[in-house]
Amino acid sequence: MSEAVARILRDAFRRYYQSHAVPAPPSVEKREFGVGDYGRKIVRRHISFVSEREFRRYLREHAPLYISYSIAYFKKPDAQPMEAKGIEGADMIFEFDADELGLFSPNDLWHCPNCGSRGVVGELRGFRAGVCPNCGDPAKIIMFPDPGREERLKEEVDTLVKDFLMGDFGISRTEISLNFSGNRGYHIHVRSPSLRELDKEARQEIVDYVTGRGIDVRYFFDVSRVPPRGPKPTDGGWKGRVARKLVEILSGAKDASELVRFGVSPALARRIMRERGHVVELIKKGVWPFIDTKADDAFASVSALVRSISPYMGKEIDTNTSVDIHRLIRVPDTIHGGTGLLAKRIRDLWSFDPYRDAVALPERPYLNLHVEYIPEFEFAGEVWGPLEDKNVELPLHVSVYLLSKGVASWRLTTQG
Amino acid sequence: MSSFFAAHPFLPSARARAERLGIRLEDITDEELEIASARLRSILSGRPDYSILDERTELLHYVIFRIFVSFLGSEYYYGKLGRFYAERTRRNFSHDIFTELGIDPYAVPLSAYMKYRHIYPETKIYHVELKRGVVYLTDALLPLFAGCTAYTLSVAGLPLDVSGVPERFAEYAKRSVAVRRAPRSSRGYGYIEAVLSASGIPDGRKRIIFYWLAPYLVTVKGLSPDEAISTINEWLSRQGGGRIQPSWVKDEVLLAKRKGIRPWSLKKVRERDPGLVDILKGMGVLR
Repeated sequence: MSEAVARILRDAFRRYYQSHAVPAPPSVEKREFGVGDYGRKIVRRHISFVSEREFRRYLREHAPLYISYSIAYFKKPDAQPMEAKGIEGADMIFEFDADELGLFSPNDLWHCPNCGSRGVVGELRGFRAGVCPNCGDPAKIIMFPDPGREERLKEEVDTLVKDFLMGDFGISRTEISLNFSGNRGYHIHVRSPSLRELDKEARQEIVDYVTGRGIDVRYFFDVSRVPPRGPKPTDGGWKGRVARKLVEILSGAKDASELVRFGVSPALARRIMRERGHVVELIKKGVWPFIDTKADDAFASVSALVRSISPYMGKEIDTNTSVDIHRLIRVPDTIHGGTGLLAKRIRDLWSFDPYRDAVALPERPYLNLHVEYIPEFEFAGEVWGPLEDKNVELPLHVSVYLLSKGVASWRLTTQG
Repeated sequence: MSSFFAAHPFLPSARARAERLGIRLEDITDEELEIASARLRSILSGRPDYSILDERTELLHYVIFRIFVSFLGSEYYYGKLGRFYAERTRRNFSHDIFTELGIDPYAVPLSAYMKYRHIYPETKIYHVELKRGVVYLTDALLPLFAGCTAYTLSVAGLPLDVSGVPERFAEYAKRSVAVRRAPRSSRGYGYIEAVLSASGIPDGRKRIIFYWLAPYLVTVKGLSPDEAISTINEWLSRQGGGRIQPSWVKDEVLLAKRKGIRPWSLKKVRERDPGLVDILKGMGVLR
């Protein structure tokens, strides 16, 4: 984006903040804020506001392209250096990004910064996430709105909120705030006193819990007894989750191959399937008769089961956001300066459509763009594309979105 | 039979007991310091004696140990001391420790459970039963959890402010480190050396410093924080990308120094951050 577009953006942002009362984050007076401008998410930090009123006035007057706030609560949020701020605790944030979870859609574009190849993900057979099919270098994925991906992302978010945060950690729904990130994912803010005072190491353990990292299933079993005793579906935490998953698989399996998928030997899988009713009953009592405790890989299939449960396992997820208590994160209900979309607070996850409900910028002015390639996609209630190597005049909201994706370039501005 | 506080001198309530016994720094003799130093030496060298001595000695030694490790000034030593008390508590486990701490160990609220460092894999949150914010422990796990509480409490507040402590304590503290650890071999860290000599890395510089450079330079190569910072700054000047805050680099180096953090293995980075490895492989820095 050019500086001229940034200027247009700043005007549009100012108009938005002048006509919308953005709620300040809870305990606004204890938060540190950072603001960014064209091309840089944080240009200035150590800013603080004594009240929501002052926070809103800042937005109206300065209309920053990015505004983030500390997940931490400080005695003196504007003090420097960090040690002088006097930390009192911190929220916990979980970030879900579609690309980190590898949720690619056939409509997405890929482009290789190394060899310059590009194309549409759906046209490649067996496209391996993030790797250029020509040179094998890391490829960049350019995502476009896709309802199927949104559904899958929401399922992940829903699992985290209901199963892990509420079910396991006992966090009340009122202590969880959910918002669209303004780009490709969601932010879950947990403002529970039970997690607020956790240090970095404890937060890492919580993240490991959610991602399933570090789980050693041997600790779920008592192999001193014959047959071995293991988790029951009624157990709490990962133990119960593993047992429930196995019961679910056994109950729904059509044939032995569904167990072989988890590394169970074909012969054992057939035997389990023959006696599956009995096996399910035993597992419900915490008895795991088919674990051969003498075998080297006795628990390999149970480990595979764990991997199949955690949607995050083995994925390249930025867990620093959850662990780093000095992190700044986008203020909910403010506009993402790159995409022009709102980091909108979400009331009902399932009815939320980010490309309809989070569009903050107006249609005007229209921008003259050169579009290299875009697939057909829905944005702001209209269908756009497909377009290839075309000069077009597009409304501000979709123009900014395309510019942020790097698939279009600005030619000149027209007011209209 | 040892007393309760002899077994658990790290408990907050033990301080009052020590005061009642009249344990004061100025009364501690050189002979007592010599004995405490020898005992700490066995703990730090990994050959601790887990037997419990008389109450006065245990309370006294606990205070002296904390002063000594503060003089030594490394989290490596704090961890050793914490593990000693953890292991001793695990071995001599009794429910009394939970009574003293006001914990119902069979049903611990998550926030209380997470206050303690889980130094045993069995007590990691993902290995225990957790339902609706309550951790349910079995009898088999109680000694381990007691060990975790001992670890956390015994290292809490370290390092102490030792500015007012008589200088002779520092002398005995140094004697506690019987065999000075030789600088760790840098063999097996060829991948970090390769990254250190690379130029033009466009992305992931902060992660590289965090995973590898800061711990490698101070913990493995034994450079002073200033030397490590200047090496990293020189390395940064050869890479692409925007400016990285000097204070961030300094914080990472000091953290690695304070905690004795070792660099992540290549395997661990491959598992946790495959994108970074791909970048480095793409540049030919890593094979």
